[in-house]
Amino acid sequence: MDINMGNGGIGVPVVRRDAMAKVLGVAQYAADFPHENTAYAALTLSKVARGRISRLDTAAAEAVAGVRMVLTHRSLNESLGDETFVMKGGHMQSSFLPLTSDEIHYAGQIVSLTIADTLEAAEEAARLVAIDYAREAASASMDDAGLTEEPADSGIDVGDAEAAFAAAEVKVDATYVTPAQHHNPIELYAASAAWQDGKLLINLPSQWVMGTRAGLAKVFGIPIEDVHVESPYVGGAFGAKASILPHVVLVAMAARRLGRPVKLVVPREAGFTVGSFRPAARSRVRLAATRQGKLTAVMHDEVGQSAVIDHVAFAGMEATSKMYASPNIRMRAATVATDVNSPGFMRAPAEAPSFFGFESAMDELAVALGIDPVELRIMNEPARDPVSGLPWSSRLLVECYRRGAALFGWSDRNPKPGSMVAADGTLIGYGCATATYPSAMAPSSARVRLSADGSCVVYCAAHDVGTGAYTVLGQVAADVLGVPDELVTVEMGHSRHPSGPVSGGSITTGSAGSAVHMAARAVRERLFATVAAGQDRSKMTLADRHVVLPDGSRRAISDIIGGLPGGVIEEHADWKPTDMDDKTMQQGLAGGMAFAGPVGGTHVSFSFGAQFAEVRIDPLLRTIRVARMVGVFACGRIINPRTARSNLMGGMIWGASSALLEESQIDRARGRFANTDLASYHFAANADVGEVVVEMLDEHDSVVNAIGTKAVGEVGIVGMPAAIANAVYHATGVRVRKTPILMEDLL
Amino acid sequence: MRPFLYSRATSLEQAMSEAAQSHAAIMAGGTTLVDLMRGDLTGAEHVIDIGHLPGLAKVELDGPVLRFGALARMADVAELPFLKQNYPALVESLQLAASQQIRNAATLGGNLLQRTRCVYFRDGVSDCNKRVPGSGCTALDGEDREMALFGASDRCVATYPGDWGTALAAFDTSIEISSAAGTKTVKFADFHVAYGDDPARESILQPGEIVTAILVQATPAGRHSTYVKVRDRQSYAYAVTSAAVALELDGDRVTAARVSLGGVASKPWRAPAAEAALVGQVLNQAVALEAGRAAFADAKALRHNGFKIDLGARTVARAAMVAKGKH
Amino acid sequence: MSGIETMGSEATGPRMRVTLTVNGADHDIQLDPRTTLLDALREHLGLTGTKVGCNHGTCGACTVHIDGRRQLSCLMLAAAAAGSAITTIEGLAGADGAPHPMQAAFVAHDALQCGYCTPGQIMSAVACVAEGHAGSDDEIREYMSGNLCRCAAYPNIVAAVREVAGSTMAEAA
Repeated sequence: MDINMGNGGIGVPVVRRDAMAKVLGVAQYAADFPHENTAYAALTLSKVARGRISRLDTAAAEAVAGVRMVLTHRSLNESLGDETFVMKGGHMQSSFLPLTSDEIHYAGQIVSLTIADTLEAAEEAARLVAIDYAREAASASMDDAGLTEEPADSGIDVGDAEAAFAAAEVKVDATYVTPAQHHNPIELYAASAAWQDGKLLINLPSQWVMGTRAGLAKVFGIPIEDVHVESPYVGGAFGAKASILPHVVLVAMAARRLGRPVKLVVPREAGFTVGSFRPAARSRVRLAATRQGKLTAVMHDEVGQSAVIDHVAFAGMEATSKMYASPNIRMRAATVATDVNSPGFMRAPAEAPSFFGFESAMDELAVALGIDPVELRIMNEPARDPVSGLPWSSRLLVECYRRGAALFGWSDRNPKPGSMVAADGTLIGYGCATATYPSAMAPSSARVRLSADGSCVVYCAAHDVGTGAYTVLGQVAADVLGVPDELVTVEMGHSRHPSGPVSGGSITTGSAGSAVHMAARAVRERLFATVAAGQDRSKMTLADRHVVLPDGSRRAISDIIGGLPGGVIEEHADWKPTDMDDKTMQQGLAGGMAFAGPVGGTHVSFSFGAQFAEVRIDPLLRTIRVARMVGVFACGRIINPRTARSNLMGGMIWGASSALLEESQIDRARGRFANTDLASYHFAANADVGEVVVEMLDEHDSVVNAIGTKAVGEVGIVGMPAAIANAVYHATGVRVRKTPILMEDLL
Repeated sequence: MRPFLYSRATSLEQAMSEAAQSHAAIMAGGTTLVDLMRGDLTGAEHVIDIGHLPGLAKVELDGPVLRFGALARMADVAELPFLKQNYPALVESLQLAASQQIRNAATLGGNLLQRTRCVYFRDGVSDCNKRVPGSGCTALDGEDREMALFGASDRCVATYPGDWGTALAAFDTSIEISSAAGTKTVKFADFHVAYGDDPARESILQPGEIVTAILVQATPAGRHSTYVKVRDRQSYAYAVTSAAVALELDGDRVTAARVSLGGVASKPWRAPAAEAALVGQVLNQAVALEAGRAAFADAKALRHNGFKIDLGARTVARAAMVAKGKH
Repeated sequence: MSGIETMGSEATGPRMRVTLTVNGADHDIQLDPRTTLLDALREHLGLTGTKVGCNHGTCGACTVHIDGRRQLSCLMLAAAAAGSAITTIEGLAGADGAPHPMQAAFVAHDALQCGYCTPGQIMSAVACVAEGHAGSDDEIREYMSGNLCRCAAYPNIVAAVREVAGSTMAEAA
């Protein structure tokens, strides 16, 4: 490992590099970019969930002053390149592109795009697009009668779990339900497209500019170099902005036809169906143990909501099967196809719903055994992955529990439900749960430039969706090059940059960071080679903008680089995970989805955390408040504890919000999402959040990658819903096996 | 939004005369009207902005009748020390409503006229007798957790969403209405119309009429009053249930009581049965809960809102005990 | 009267001329009466620091100051704002360009992640302190709840507001 801890690069809580631009209001998000002569677009959405358009009349819309175009399935009439669903190897949010037929596959499907000179005219005209439907029966809920479960191709089997369960002394068998949920980033979906000389420039909020570029090139049948995707700032993503949403294609098409830039900001209510969502899920968990608390069987049967138009499966079994030592493990998954817009990635897509059930069941087992829930988990800690038998690249879950229990004051807990009551009668509950998230990685390129004045620029088509990547990637370069942080600039979020990975799956730091590390090392090598050819480079160091030679003498970087042609040293690197072949790497760098991990050839790599919650419940009204949360995490090396802490804290609050507030209600009679605004789709407000304590253990993982980082972005949410449900049980004695847990569940 | 003309009223008389024309809408703070226009939930073709009219924001608290000018802003009224001291229920209903940004713009008069949050009314596509009379009520077989237990019918089960209006119902309140024909006052109980009767009609206000003041009879019960709001989210959310209680006490014994309910009815809902259950009793938790149960004795539940019968009763009980504890 | 002139119906529907006073400067613009203050700021004046998050008054991202009070620009017609002093995030910094203490406190406390709700949070926070509603953490939480942050930087936002409120109180003492 080659980490220079002396220079204040890695491990230092550097202030967020993009913070000042954001607080001043000058950071430009997708809808903020001005284009000369922009026309404005507005959407019309399907009122029915399934059927066909039987009548379409755009006359009234076209008659509105200032309207330039009403794009419908009739007027689209253009063959597009064959690009497909992101989970089938393409880049689209769905394999179905609205306006390509008269078919309606889900409520809220785009049925027309209206373009006008002003925003007001476009919105008014979109309302006047008259459509009748030949409506067919639809099922938007996986609980609707007559739907069938489609089993997944494979499960996980270790030993004979059914037999062990049947023979067990102590067992738990329970089913847990989680609802559909929507990301609802505060930044609305948006797209602004302009064509010039056959080239497309598109501004949109994106977690994957390289993938978006590749996908749009394919859709429009133009060379990949002729698509420019710009997304320097993203106003929250959480998985929602990782694929090409349908409106993006339609806006680009309208702009090409009109020969004029077109801009669309997708209204909040439309975002519920123009984008994706977290599908509903059901987990049956069966756990068996000896009286002493040793697990003898772990079984998890998951059923997830999928879509008729796209098969989507998010079973969490890869993670739940690795949690605890058990000689017998059996995992199964199935899906139910429903008439909804294609579900998609949402913060810990598989793990968050899955762990609500799995970690609630562990708590139920602890109760059944009369064993402390923390101790139950510790006594079942596996030395190796119980499925593959491979060692962990690192796993400090027990240490997380020990530290978390101390920070939280777990020893104050009286295990008897309802036994902890505040002076005013408020019921107090303590709960805990395990969090984990796979550490996968994707290939990435990066370019690093060092100038004579000591300044350094990092280029990478990765993204900072609020995670801190602008700051962290710069720190990696600063560390290698001994450059003070204020001289580092990071340029990201544009497809002209060296290829970066999708910013999803908590992979950015490990992947793009490794590429930056590689490029920065190449710059350093050239610097050393330039200053003293033939000397022992391993004995040379960089500090304070000087090269320190083996004999202790110092040469200023400004002198060395100043003498070079161009006055800079610039290096490009293409990095790939150890286990990945070159072909996969090239696919990834060209904008394809290419992941390695978390199970490698020699090791298994996950981040881990122990999460604790204190709930306070009104004894009369049964309202639930999360007074305190504690999370202790082991995520490998933390490049920037400041941004990592915020990321994990945000994840924990997401988990609390998911546990107590969030549900996209499905109106089953009409097959549509009912609460499509932020007044009725609740997520946590400031007043919902009490004290949040986050700690990251000093974990050294020398296997996972060259900089020793594991996943940070999503692990924070994973254990929180179960920790809160377990705390609610502890406070009241009521076991709620669904989220959100509402006051009426406790009356 | 549909196209409309905007004009800024320079006098109340001008506003009343313009508002009498068809398709005119009065705008004060705008927080309700602009949102409704965006959803095409008004037919307004002419917006008359009275938000800048002088004189209508005055609040007079020193007489036998508290007089709240209709254009007084929610946030300002919530800060009045006399009101905090003597009518906590009114202040609390304002503080617990919406957000400070909205309270800074929204007026006391406009607040009374906010429309239901029923998702089927707001979504612009579902059948809704309130939006398109005669089209039907989607909520009857839809998501009905938020729907009403009182004042509903098979034509509409939407709830009145306001907090201030619910608190006002716990006092002897009347509404001053001005029009070209002159000024009249109506009892607050008669101002709103239960949705069940005629879903499209929510108040007795006629074209050309403007709410100019809210009048509350001064009462010693104001000191022992409170507004309790139960929400899913801790803040910035509409009530699942709420209750305002105002008491006159002789020691621990209730001599007079006013109870009103929010989040459960199609208009600010007074609960005389709860009042009767309180009067004459030494107020304790059991009596308070009994009063709460009485308040909901006639409630009519749908499929998913039955829990509000229990929760609402508890809300009344909490409010009664808090009101008792106020000084 | 207050910088508003109705222009009657043209081919493009009703238009009006409005003078908006934003960050101390007067702007004469011609617009559709339907234009909200939010859209006027963003699409007509190029002041894109004020963000659109819902257009329904349910998120707080569009918070600006109207005559010193925090309000939602998405629920206000531009015409209704004529004659008022409007302050946006772009007008918060000092004349010398130095960030407002609240902007500096948000940076110092890492009170933002994606940054999209941040201008609204800061406009709200400045007003929250000026109103005297930052006396305790719980009061800050309640009076900052009209600004949703999906990244959930809330504890850090509370810390930033607390710091500025503390120094404001120290100055007053």
